[in-house]
Amino acid sequence: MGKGVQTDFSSFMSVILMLIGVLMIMLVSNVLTIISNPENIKITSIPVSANLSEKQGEEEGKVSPFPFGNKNKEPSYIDVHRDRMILYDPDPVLKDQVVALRDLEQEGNSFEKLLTRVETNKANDYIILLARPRSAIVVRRLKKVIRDRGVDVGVELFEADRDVNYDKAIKASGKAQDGEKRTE
Amino acid sequence: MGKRERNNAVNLDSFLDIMTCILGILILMILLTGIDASQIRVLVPTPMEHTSDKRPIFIECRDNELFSVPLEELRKLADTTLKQIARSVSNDSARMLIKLGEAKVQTEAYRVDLNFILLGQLAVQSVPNVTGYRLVDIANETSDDWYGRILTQMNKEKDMLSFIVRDDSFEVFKRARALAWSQKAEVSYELIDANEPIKFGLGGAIPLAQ
Repeated sequence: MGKGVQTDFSSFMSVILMLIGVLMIMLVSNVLTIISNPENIKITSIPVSANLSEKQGEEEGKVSPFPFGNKNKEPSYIDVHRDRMILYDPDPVLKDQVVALRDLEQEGNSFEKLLTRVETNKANDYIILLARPRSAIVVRRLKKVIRDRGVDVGVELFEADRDVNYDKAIKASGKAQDGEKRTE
Repeated sequence: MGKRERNNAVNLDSFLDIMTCILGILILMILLTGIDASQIRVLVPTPMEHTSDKRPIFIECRDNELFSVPLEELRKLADTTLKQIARSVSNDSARMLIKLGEAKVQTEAYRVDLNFILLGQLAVQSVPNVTGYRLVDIANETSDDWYGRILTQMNKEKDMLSFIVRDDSFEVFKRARALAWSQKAEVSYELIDANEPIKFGLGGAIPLAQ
């Protein structure tokens, strides 16, 4: 009569121990994500791998690009071909503008506008040239023009058939969401 | 006997309470960190040229092969030849120009065009039909291989790899660069036209790491 019903909790304890283990793993993974970018810096990165292609990355092991590169400034991209360039800029007026080399002589061309826009905020913005095959001479001249305006520049070599996924990159960086919030 | 066994059983109730508390705390922590982590973007650095005081080791990427550019050796050879020519023609500048055009200064893979020397430039051209190093698979590149040896022997605190990339040889360059980065070596690169001579000296730019 005095003795109560004794329940055996040992199996329940095993479940709790397993749950604690799983939760610890989840906690570590969350902490690692936060540590990887504690200040939550957002920059638009089109080249996300140092490898030639996704396939090569899978075969030879993916290598993180530009370990000594920029981690602060927001880049505008210029896809430089032998005879033309395509601009990729957060400014919707300049984005996707194609500038033929002969148009560079005209005052107020889109490249000039992009350069002026970046120059006004050169502490936070800079330009990356995506150099296509056979574009060495154009790239060198553009680099000189950009440097002369005191704007930082970077160069990445892009194969002829490689696509420039600017929209995807800007979405991955979270910049697109910020823009949407601002417009709301 | 049976009574004694029951008395010896360990009561784990309080331990279970502690475990349940820890579980609750963990769930709260995961909720908090999860909200933070969901807003964090993976930061992928982007290329930006910056000055580096490291000593450049020049490697040319041509015809999708790698060539070591022995700059110091070429410079010494050019200086020696220039002094010899200057002695032989005394002050005759016309003869000097002819001799400079005729002079052959070359190593196994490169020759110096002495016509540019009066402009303060060391113009280097590749010797035809010389094959370089084909870097096919970076996963299997060891310190016994040509490029692997350069990476192993370089002092990564003081040296950097400076690639001169012909604009038709991106493939080998990207392989070489990926391997260098994976071994924490700093890299700079300059793109030049497929048929252009490599020029060092006046009018050039300091190799900037990226």
